[in-house]
Amino acid sequence: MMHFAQEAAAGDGSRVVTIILFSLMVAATLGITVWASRQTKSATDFHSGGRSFSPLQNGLAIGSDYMSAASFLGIAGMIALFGYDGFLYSIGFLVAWLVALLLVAELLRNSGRYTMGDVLSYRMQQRPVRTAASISTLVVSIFYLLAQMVGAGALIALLLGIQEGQTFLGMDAGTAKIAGIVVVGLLMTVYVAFGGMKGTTWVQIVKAVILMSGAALLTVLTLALYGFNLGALMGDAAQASGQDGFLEPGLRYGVEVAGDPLQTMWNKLDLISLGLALVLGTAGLPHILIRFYTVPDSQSARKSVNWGIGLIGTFYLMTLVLGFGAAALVGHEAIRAQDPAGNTAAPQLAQTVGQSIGGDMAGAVLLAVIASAAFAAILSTVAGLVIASSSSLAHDFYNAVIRRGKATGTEEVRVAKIAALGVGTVAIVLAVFAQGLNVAFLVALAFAIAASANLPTLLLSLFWKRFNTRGALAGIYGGLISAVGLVFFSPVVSGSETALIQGVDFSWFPLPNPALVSVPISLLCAVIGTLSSKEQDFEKFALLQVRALSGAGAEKATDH
Amino acid sequence: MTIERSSKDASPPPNGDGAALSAEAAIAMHSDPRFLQLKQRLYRFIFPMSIAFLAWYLLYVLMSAFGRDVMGTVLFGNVNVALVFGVLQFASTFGIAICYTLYARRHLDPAAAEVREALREKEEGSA
Repeated sequence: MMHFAQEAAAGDGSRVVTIILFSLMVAATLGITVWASRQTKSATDFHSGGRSFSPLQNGLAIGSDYMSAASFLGIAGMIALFGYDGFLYSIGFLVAWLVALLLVAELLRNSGRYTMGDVLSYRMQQRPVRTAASISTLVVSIFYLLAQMVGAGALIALLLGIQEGQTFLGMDAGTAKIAGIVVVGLLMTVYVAFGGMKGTTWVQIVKAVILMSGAALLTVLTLALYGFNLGALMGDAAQASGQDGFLEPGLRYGVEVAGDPLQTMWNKLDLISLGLALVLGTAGLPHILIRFYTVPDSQSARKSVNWGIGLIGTFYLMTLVLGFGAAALVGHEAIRAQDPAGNTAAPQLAQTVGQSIGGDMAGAVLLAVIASAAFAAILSTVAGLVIASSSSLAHDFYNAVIRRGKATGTEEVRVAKIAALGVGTVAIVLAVFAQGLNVAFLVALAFAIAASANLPTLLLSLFWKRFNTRGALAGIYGGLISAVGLVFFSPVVSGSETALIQGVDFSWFPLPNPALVSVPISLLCAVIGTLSSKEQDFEKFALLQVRALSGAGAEKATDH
Repeated sequence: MTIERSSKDASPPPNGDGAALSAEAAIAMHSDPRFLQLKQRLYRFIFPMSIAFLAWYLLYVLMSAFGRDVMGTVLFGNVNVALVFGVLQFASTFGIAICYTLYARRHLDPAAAEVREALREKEEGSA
C-alpha cells in the first residue's frame, strides 16, 4: 500500500481535482449568497430566513450545523485510532437531540423571536438578562468557532497534501494553515453579512447533501470490500490496530492506569463528565437553537428536529464504518504519520478504497470528493456560528440593551452585519494564535459551557413559575464562570504533559471536562439566586407558558 | 433591591407581534381547563420520558466507565455487549422521537389548536 503522504504529494492529479472541487464549492456558495442577499429585506429575513424553510430543509441545515468537520473527521479519526471510544462520543451527540426535541425546540419556536436571549429574558428584566445571554452566546460560539477554524487551517493544508518542509504555490505548511484559516474566516463572514440566515441555511443544505452523499458512497464502497460483512470489517480493524480491547470502551476515555487507582478514578469520572456535557450541551448551543426560528411554526420545528435526528444518526452509523474501515485498510501507522490526532483517517480511507477498486485515478477522485465534503462541512458550520453571534449582538445587546428596544429592523440588520464582520475578524485573529490548541478539547469545552450556562436557565425559564431575574443571571454567569474556571485549573491548562502552558502547574481540578461539577453549580446558583430575590412575575409566566405551549401569538413566517 | 414586578425596567420586551395575544386573555387562559389539559398532556409525556432516556443514557456511560467486564463480553463473532448497548442507544433515540411525534400529533396539536381557537374567539368577542 502506498503511503498516503507521499502519494498525495506526488499525485498532483488528486490535488488538481481537489482544488477544482473546492473552487466549484466556493463559487456555488457565493452564488447562493448573492441570491440570498437579494431576498433578504427585513430583520426576520436576516435573523431567521423569513421563517419559511420547510422541515426537511431545516432538518438538513440542523444536520449541517451539527456534522461539523470536527465531528465528521474527528469521530472517524477517533474510531480509527481508539476504536469503540469514538463511537461513545457520537452516541452522546445523538441522544442529546432528545433534550432538544422534547424540552426545547417547540417551546422556543413559539415564544422567541430571533435569539436564545428572547426566551431567557421573556419574563425577566430585559437588559441584564439579555446582556448575560449575549455574553454566553458569544463565549460558546467563539470556542466552537475556534475549534472549527483551527481544524480548518490544518485540514486544508493536509487535504491539499502540503507537508512540513514542502511548498505549494510558494506556501509552506505553516503559511498554508494560516491561509486556510483566513480563507475560511473571510468566506463565513461574507456568507453571513450578505446572505443572512437565508444564505447561511442554503449553504448548509447544499453541504448536508454533499457530505451525506460523500459519506454514504465511501461507506458502501468500504463495506463492499468486505462483502457487506460489518463483523469481518470490525475483526480486521481490531487485528490491524494491534491493541487489546479495540472494540471495547477504555482506550481513549476513562483509561485505567495500572497502579494508580486515584488517577483511574479521575479518568472514569471525566468520562462521565464528558458524557454529561455531550448530552446536555446540544440544546444549549445558540447556533442550534436559532435554527428552530427558521420554520413557520412549532410543528415544523418538531419535524425538522426529527429529520435532523434521522440524518445525524445515519451519519454517525456511517462514521462507525469509516473509522473501522480506516483502522483496517489504512492502518494506524499511516494515519498517525499524516496526522497524529487521526483527523485525516476518512480522506485517507477514501484514497485507499478508491485505489483498490479502480486504481490510482479513482483513488485521487474519491480522495478529492471526501476532502471537498470536509471543506464544505467546515464552511457551513462556521457560518452558522457567526450568524448566531451576530444576531445575538444586534438583537440582544444592541437593540435591547443599548437602544432599549427602540431600534428598527433595518438598524438591527445593519448592526448584525457589522457584528458579523467583527466576529469574523476576531475569530480569524484568535484562530491564528490558537493554532496549537487541541480541536476536540475546544469542542468539548463549548458543549460544557452550553450545558452549564444556557440549558439550566433555559429550562427553568420555561417551566419554573418562581424563577426570576436574579436566578437567571446567577444561572448563566454561575455556569459560565464555573465551566471556564474549572477548565483553567484543570490539567488541560497546566500541570500535564499535554497542557497548554508548560513549565508551571497551578492545576487543582482533576477533570479535563468540567460539566459534572459546573452543571450542578449553575442549577444551584439559579435556585439560590431566585429564592434570594423577592421578584416574581406570575403574569409574565402565564403569558410565556400559554404562548409557548399553544403557539398563540407566536411569530409568523413572512410572506414574499 | 427587591423588585415586585419587572415594570421598573423601561424597555418593553422586544418579543411578540403584539396583535395576536393580549396579556389579559393569556393570563385568563393560563387557568382555563383547556390550557390545563394541554399542559398536563405535555408534561405527562416530556418529563417522565426525559428522565427515562437520561437514566438509560447515564447507565450506558456508567457501564462504559465501570462495567468494562460486562461491556467486553462477546455475544457472537466480533459483536460484544458494548456495541449492542451503543446501537440500542441509537434505536431508543429514534424510537422515542417517533413516539413523541405520534403522541404530539394525537394529543398535543389538537389541544393546542383548541387553546388558540378559544383565545381568538375571546379576542374577537372583546373587539
